[in-house]
Amino acid sequence: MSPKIMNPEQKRSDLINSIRHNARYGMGIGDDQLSNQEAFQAVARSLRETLIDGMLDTEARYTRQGSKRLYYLSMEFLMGRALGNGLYNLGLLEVCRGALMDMGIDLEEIRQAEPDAALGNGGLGRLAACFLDSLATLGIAGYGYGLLYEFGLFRQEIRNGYQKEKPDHWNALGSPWLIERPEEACIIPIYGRIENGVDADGGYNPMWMDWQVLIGVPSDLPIPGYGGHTVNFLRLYSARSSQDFDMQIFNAGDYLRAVEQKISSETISKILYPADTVQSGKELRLLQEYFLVACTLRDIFRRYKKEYGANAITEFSTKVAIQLNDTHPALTVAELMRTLVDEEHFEWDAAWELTQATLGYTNHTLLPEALEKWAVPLFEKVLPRHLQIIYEINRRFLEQVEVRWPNDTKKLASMSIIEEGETKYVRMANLAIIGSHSVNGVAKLHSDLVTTNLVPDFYDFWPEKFNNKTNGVTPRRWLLKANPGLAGLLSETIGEGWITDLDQLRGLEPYVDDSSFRARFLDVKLNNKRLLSNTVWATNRVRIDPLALFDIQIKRMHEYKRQLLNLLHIVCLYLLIVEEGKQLPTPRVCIFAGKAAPGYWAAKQIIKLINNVAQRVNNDPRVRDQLKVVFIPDYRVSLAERIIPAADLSEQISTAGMEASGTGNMKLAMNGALTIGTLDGANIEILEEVGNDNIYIFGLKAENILEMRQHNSYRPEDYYLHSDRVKRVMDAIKGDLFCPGEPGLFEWIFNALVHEGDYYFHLADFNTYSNAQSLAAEDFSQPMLWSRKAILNVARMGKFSSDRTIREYAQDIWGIS
Amino acid sequence: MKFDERQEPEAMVVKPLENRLDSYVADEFKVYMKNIVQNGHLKIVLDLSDIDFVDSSGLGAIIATTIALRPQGQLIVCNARDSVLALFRLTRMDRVIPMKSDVQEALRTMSSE
Repeated sequence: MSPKIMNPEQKRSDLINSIRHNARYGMGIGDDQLSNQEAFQAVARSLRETLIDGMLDTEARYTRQGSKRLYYLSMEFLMGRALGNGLYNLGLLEVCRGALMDMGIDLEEIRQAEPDAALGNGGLGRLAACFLDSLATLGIAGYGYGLLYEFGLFRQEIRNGYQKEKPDHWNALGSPWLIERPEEACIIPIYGRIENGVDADGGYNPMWMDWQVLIGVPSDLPIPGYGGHTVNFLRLYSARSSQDFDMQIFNAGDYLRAVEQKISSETISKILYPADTVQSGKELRLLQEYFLVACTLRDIFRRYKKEYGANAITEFSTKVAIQLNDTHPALTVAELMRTLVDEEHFEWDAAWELTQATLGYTNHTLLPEALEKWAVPLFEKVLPRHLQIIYEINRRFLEQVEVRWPNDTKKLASMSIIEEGETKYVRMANLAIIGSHSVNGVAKLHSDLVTTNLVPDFYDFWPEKFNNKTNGVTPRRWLLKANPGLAGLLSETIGEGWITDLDQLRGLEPYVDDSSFRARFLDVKLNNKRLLSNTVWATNRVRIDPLALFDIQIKRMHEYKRQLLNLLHIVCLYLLIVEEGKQLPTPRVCIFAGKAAPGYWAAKQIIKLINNVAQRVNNDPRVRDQLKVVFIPDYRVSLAERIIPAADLSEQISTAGMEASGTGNMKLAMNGALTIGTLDGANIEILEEVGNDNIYIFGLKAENILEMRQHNSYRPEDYYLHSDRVKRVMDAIKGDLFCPGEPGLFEWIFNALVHEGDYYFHLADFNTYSNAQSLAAEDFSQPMLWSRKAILNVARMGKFSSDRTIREYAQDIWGIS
Repeated sequence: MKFDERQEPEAMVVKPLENRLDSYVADEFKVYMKNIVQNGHLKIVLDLSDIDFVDSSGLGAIIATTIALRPQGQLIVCNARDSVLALFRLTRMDRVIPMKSDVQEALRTMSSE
């Protein structure tokens, strides 16, 4: 996009005219009576015009240059709000602020009126969103493809300490950013049966008959890169029924049936499945995954044929790369093969070569229960032709395994796409690995564990396929936008180059001993903590002291992430204060936020325990404000943007070997929080970057835990019996201290940790965690020492920009330079 | 359901005058085509130029006509729009039923076989 040459006054005046025009003629509202929501809509519509110009210019440039295109398939895109990000990236923030001021409107207020687009559960979806920002900033022809869920991740309310889920109708008012493209709708068949016939030449011809049809209608969300030179898009599909089809039923007088048909078709893109729910057997989820894959591939082929002609499919992989964000879109392997073999009339071997050359797969989890598999009968019912294709892929692949390792039935069983048993299953990870030319993990440790523990046989078979791409986060959203105070200080000190080249933050190191810089750094942090204190007062009615240590754990609620370990330490501190009269080295505010999957009982109980501990601690006069506990409800991107800049201590305390990477750890360190963490996920690489003196590492290593699990040698009872600290804390949890009206409510935690094996090693890590916490508190009580460490954390976060991650993907996997 | 039909030297040309060939008209279509076959027309060109939506019932009805024509007769489909052609390819029916771009090409093919 070529930026229009205009002075700021002209831009401001043009923007005012555009906002008034959009309010009046787009929304039917005079500008003198705009509510915040209406003003947001009018501003967004005005910005949308600039974005559309940019998108069209960008597309023309890619076409002219014959750019190779990257398609990032993900069931989740956790985008958050778009207005602020768009204004920053297009360089229009101050113009817009000024224009609105002239109209008597406060930009900050209308930014708060924008609902978060919560089309994701957590890290995986937010990673996809960060990647889109980096792709556009780097000028790469990269597109997100996902589903336009009518309901995003549920809104979380807390009642009597318990999580209550409320529907998130995020798009109820209509998103001003989305551009619907009905002319590019596609027809997707599902269900049906295979009729085994012969073709005109007498060859085998399996025909897919008796299917039902879905219509996929795309809507585009423009993605501006920083500087506005490139505007890519995220294409999101909604499922619709065929209007023609419905109208016929309607004409036949069966209105109710027409409506029912419509509802069942549109159910496909109705709701985002929460993470951590058992999805096996969930037909709707399988339909969703197929719907995304099928719509995407049709769109890719349509665009490719338009650019290169219908006869150039043999060159497909030189112009198209597809990245699978986890196994959720792994059906792409079968759908691409079906398209090439059935529709494009490719021979099997040529189709297979093209499929592997085009696809890359990113693994995101080592948790066995999170590896998707679908029962064969369900799969056959929904996608009969795809099951045939998968059987054929598997037959040919297992022949290769047999050649490599003759008569090794164990290897054949572990590597087969089909899991044998009373009910057979289709293993989606195996399908994705076999069908891709690249398989990557998302942090060094995780990628190692993929090859040594998760799929070692595949690694032995294809070592060259496996690689690591350590995650990153976009500094535009997580520093420039989320923390304008720090961003301003950084730009003033080292220039603005860091915004697109985060390694330049190293330029801060010479200032680490500069007392005036340190003082300003601390001022920025204190101001951010004041803002968060206001939020906590508004949401929780708890007063917190901005001078206290803000100890933050914000992430999905899951046992392996060990919010419970944090809580055990809080209980320990509480008991030290009230029973022993101890004075903490520094007042501490422990802040939690995160959602539990609606069906995940233990995680929801942990939320209840946090709230009950908060109730007790915050209202006990003996504590004298040395300790506060807060659970801020409804964790989401916009709330993270408020919490992260205010953090002093970042809790990254998962059981070693269980967190793939984490990206919250990067966002928090980038904003000057010090990490207290285990040697897990990307914490290890954060340690490598910041150095041992600037991080608090504790606990068992992944290999210790694996060994103890293998040998069944962990005895949590021993920790309970032999550590006074552990015993006091666990007894307090077991008793009624934190559930006076509901005796025995948390006894299950005592049993799980002390008597039932403590699968996540809370007790084994408790003492080293407590020691690390003490050290952190001592350091925090020395502001100059603490600020030095915090500044060095910021300065050494260059590696964790998603720009670096995307460059690695582009070069090593996608063949895009 | 309405049809246009005309006898050419090479074949009977049948054109459904609807824009949908779906479950609501598939049976009617099947009976109509069966009558044509029973009346001794064993070479049929099916002109789909007005059709913009076919569902699996519609495709099934076309397959049924092909089967009714066996072993001596032949059905050729022509003028299928891109969206309809895509469904023939998706189901691999294009490998069973010859697809031609227009009536003239279909008639030429019919006469050469």
